[in-house]
Amino acid sequence: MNMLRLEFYKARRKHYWLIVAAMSGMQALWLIWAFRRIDARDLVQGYLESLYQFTMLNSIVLPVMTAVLVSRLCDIEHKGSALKVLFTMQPSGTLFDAKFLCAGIHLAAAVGFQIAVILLMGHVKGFGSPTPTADFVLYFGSQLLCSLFLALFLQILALRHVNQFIPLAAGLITGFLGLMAMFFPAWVMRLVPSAYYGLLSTVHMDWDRAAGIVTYYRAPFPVADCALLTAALVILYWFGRKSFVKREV
Amino acid sequence: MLFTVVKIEILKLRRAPVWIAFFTLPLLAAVMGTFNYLQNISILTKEWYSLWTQHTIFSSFFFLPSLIGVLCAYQWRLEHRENNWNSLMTLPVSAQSIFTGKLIVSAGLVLLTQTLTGALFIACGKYAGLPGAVPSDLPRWLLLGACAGLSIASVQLALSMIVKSFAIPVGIALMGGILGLVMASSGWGLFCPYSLLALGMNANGSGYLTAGDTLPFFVSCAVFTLLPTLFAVWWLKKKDV
Repeated sequence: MNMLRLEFYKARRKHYWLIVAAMSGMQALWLIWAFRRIDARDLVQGYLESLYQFTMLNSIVLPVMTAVLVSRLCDIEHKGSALKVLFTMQPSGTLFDAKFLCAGIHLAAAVGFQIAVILLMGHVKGFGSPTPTADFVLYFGSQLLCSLFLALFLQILALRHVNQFIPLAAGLITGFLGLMAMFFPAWVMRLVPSAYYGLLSTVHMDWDRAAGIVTYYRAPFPVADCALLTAALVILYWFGRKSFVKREV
Repeated sequence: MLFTVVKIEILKLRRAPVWIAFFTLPLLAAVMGTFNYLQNISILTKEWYSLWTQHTIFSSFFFLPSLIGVLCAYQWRLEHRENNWNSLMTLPVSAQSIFTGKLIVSAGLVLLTQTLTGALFIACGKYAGLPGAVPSDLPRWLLLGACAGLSIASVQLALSMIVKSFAIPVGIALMGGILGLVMASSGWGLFCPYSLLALGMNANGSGYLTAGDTLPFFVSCAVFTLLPTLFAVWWLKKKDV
């Protein structure tokens, strides 16, 4: 807990929250723009449409936001050549954990903010269906899980390489792959970490091309895919932490 | 002088991995875009034009602007580190040359990326067995895209010069890309530098730009290239590093 508090103390004048706020604000503006003209049919499926829109946006925005956030969190140690000093003052594993937790808290705030925006939108526009609490819980958990995996992957890169071009480029390319993979069969999506934003979503879309009608519907939560990503997260955490602890700084 | 500055900027980037990312993005876009096209060939009926949209729509709005942002941030990162600003400003090199040198290197890399995008598009089209000739508009799309890339590079270089953080300008570029999509969809694309790439490259396949829009497009590119350049030169001359 002290280490986590230290991470936030280091971030005091770095305004990491501003990155999260700006990017989440941009997503909120997107939703407002998407709902600027809305008919009765859209109102009925407003919550589902919002969740679907945010899931798509997350696959583009969150990998880059995570890369920017994690790069800033880790670059602070590279800039000050602080790793050697820190390793003599605290167990190196706790530094790794604290950074990961700090990124995770920011990411949880971002996903939480999205849900708040959807609720506000539903209130203002008058979405014609009851608030889907279960969908929101699953949305929060799945989007956060995927973001945590990316944060971990990018943190390993950002701590390993002084040159922060590498985690940033990896974030961009992962985001691109995730977005493209959403148009591929599920087995391809399972190979791309950022495609899990879409893969773990319980809201899907059916587009009737002839009638030009979009219908959003619920699907069962993909427990197996969630378990796969969680297992990958645990393995990556074990590998990443171990390699960080054992490295020579 | 400018030629020497450009040579030095290239020298600084010699061992940097930026080249890899710039060549990876079009390659991934081509492979995944072609695969997606082949999977949905019954819906995507405009052959070469449909393939083109699959190759460019996502990268031109979101990822290429962000990647240009990374390149620009990387170029200034070297100056932000240690005492390099002091060294840079005491060199007998004009402020114009410092900024323009970085802009020319960025433009060169964007041009190479566009060339690769074009080559991969032709190769993938042949692989997919598309009938007919390659669209005669292809060189125009690539050239207009390169001009738009220059504008984005100019904006991003000016941003990265002021913002010391390496990562923040990249985030701004991504937000610019989203804003660009909204602006382009609303018909205001010529007023946003981040829309220009998709407009110029005809990334949605239905012709954002008509023949009559070409001149306003070039004017827009010129404005979004010159304004940040003039601002950056002013900033370099006036501000204490």
